[in-house]
Amino acid sequence: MASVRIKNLKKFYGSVKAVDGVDLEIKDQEFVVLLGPSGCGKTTTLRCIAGLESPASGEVYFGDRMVNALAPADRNIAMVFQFFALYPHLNAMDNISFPLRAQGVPAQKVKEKIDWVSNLLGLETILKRKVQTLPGGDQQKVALARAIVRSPAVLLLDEPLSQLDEKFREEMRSELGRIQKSLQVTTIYVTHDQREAMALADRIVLMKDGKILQSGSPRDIYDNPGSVFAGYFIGSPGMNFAKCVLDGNRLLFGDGQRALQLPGDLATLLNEKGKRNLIIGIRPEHISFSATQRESVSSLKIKVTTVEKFSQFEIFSFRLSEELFLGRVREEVPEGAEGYVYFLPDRLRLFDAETERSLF
Amino acid sequence: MLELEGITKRFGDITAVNQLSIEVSAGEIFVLLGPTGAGKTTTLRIAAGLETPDEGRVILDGRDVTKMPPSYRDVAMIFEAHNLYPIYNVYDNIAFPLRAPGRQLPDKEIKEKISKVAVDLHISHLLDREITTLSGGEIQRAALARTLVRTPRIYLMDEPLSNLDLKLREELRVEFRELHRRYGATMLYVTHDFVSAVSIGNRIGILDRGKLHQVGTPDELHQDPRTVTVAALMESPPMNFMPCQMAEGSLLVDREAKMIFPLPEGQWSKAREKAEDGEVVLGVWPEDIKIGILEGERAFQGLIVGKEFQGANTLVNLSVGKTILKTLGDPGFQGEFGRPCRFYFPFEKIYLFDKRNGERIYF
Amino acid sequence: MNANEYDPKEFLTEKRFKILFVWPSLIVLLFLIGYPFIMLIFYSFFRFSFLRPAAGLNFIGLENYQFLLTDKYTWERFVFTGKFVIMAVVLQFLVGVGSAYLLQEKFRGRGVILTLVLMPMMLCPIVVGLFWKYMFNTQWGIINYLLKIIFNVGPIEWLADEHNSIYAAVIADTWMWAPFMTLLSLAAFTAIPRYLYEAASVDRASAWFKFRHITLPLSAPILVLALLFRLIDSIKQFDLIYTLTAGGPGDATQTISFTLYKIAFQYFYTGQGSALAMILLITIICLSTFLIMYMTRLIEKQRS
Repeated sequence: MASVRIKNLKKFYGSVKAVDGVDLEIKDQEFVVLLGPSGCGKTTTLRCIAGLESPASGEVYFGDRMVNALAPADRNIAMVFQFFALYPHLNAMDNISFPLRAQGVPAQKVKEKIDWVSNLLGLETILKRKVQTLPGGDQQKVALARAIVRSPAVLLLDEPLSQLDEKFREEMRSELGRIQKSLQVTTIYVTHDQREAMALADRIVLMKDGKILQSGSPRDIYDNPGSVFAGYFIGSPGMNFAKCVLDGNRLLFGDGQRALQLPGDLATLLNEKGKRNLIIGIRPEHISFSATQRESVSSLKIKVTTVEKFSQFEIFSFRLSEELFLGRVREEVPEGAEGYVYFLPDRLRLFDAETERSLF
Repeated sequence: MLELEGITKRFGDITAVNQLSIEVSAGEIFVLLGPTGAGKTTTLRIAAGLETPDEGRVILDGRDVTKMPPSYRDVAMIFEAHNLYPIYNVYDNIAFPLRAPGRQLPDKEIKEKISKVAVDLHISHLLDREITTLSGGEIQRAALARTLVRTPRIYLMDEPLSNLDLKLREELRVEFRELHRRYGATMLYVTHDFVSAVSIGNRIGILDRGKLHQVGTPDELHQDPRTVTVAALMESPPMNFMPCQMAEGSLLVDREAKMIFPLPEGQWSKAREKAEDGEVVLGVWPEDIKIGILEGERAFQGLIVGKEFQGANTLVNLSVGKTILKTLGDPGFQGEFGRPCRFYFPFEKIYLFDKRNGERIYF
Repeated sequence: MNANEYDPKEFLTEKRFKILFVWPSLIVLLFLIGYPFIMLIFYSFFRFSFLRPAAGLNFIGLENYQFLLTDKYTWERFVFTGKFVIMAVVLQFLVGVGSAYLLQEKFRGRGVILTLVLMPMMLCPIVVGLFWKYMFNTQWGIINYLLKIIFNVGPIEWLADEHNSIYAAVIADTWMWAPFMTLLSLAAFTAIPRYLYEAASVDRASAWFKFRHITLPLSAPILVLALLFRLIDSIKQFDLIYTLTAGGPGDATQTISFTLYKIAFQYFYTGQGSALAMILLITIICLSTFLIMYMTRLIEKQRS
């Protein structure tokens, strides 16, 4: 079984707490993405799992076996690095076959494996080329081939697409997803790009400042962020936030100048929580705009500041409680116009203003 | 206000820019969009005076400045690799262009200008920091401040946001647009990032391998792309392309998928002229393809080979014949990997392109 | 500065301004190097001696060159120089690369050891020659002393024996210049990104494999550069030989530079000396051209 478990992992660099108490369980064949901004501890966590760093404290288990003391070479893992890490003067085929040859696998078997992996990744035409002559995307494919040719128990990837051109990145994203599905190998992937995380992950583990903030499927985290940071970081553009004050069944914005009526049941639940200073969160695609006020639906009067026109939608911005809100709609919105915005009530999210954590 | 007329620039055997002509009106943000190596940076450098074109003219405010050195042109440029001086702090860096000889301003005025631009770019608290202590986003903003603190005739921007993290780029993009409104500046902005181009630019010029393919607003380029390159660059996702045959009054894409479009009378001969061996390239935008069609309605057959959750929608890759079509579905799209999927797009949403040179075939 | 101030016909353009600054140094260079060089070429076509200018300037055309290039003795000197250079440079290379490999990782006291290792290079060749001369002394030199104590060998005749003296010269030269190789190798090694080694570790590579497939290929450009530098420098070797062995015993360690010194400043055959100098110069120019071509190729590869 290639399940991975991390218990209370801690790693320090001097006084900096790179990883500050991380507990994580990864099931066999699961594709887990460690997502977060630079410096959140995701790469360090990955490297501890790989054995390239020794944790200050905490344990790493592969299955039931604690592997803290094992060198990377003995953990039956394979890793794909951010900067490709290929043997520079060897050609693609020698790079890919190296791990097999280092283990003493017989030549016939090596050939079989290479045929299999080059078929899987479409590398037939570049096998004989020196890796330094290949473009970035192909180099990373070779690195990936080298990693999976050994059929490792766990596949680790450290921001593998960050050095690639946009075009390549999209291509590789699809490829990676397809390959992982057919290989069925436990995969741990590190990135700061939430689009990659959402596209590839079975489960996203969101990290910040060395700790895990939230763990869940892409849809779960997207629809129900557990914190302001989760809502902000995931989604492009991220969730809109504004400070507000709960007043009976209304939310007051910007010193009470504007108010949003809340649906009855939501208002009751909120009042039960006993918090008054809140942060409201709503995603751009759950905001709609109209020039005139609609009856019986709660709205806020706003002035449109900028409009970005894309092919299938438009993104308009307005100010609320000193924050810049972005809305995403299909119809045209005139720049500078005054009008009303509506928030989809079941998509409204509320957070405690102090802890910034979700109230529900 | 800025006119590039028939600009050609060669480096050895390579023609980096080929007969490029564009006009940037006062107060406009003109974006040059193209992949790496398209010649965007070279074009910008020619506009700035850092390179001299082999052919063509650069006209700034009605005056031919093709041979004029940069310092006389009164332009401001922001480079892809930031050009901040590590030995100065942020304030001195921003003040630098204002203290250049020939442009001396009294200290008080300098301070005012810097405060204003610092507030706009949210870096007022960073003014006395050393450059080496700043994060990537802060550096980019400081570099922007340095460019914006002057009021030149035109700003030349070379991918100022490309080195930033995704999130930071999103934030700055919106701020950028607001800044432009406030400053009313004229800008020539160069990038390979489609999203930045469309959200920032008033008009976009599509550049590929030194040639300008088309100029227009994002809308125009989307509704009426003139070449395959233009449609491929207007992501995301870019247009889907499929080879198809013109035979007996209909367009045949793929028999198995049952993708056949009857061509209306009179359209046949016009389009047939342009097709080589009766083969053309069919293009259709992902958002024009409807997926998950109910039984009983007209639909084509495809196989789901990829699914990517994107938050507001799901990117679904369908395999049809030898092509993989990118389509957009609801966030809650349920289809499973490897299962068949019904999809449809109407004849009106089809674009045809010449197989040989990628040019649009109008019919 | 705005567009209205632009005057395309300005006299003191930027280009001209730059040239103005270069002129003084150019003139000095011309005088100090150009003039003697031209005289060198001039004299090489004559039989002439500074000591006896009265004997006059006898034009003999290419006779000097002919003589030197066909003279058995001169060729023996060239061959010897070749042997010396190859032995010395190879030894320096091995010692340099080896010590750089050991000094790669940080360890306690590394800074001190590094400084000590680099010190020989900082010394003056004359000084180095002198004290190695003392160290190699047959009766009371420290080399023989240590050899006796540790290996119970010797005493070896170093400088007085015609077969051993070359080894003494090679050892002294290596001692002085191996640090150069160490320095450059170290620079090359530390430039190699760590993740390459990490990937190899994950792939279960041995230390030798890592050296052969990562370290060597990636540092090859700089190592070859250093090698070529040392090669060219060794051919010119004079100071060390002069103080260590004075070309002796007899002419057992007479490198071609030393020969040149003898001809030009002991026998004062100015004409012949000039010719030999020219021959040496051309040899070194050819080798340097290789160096420059190689470097240019390197730079272009870097840029792509």
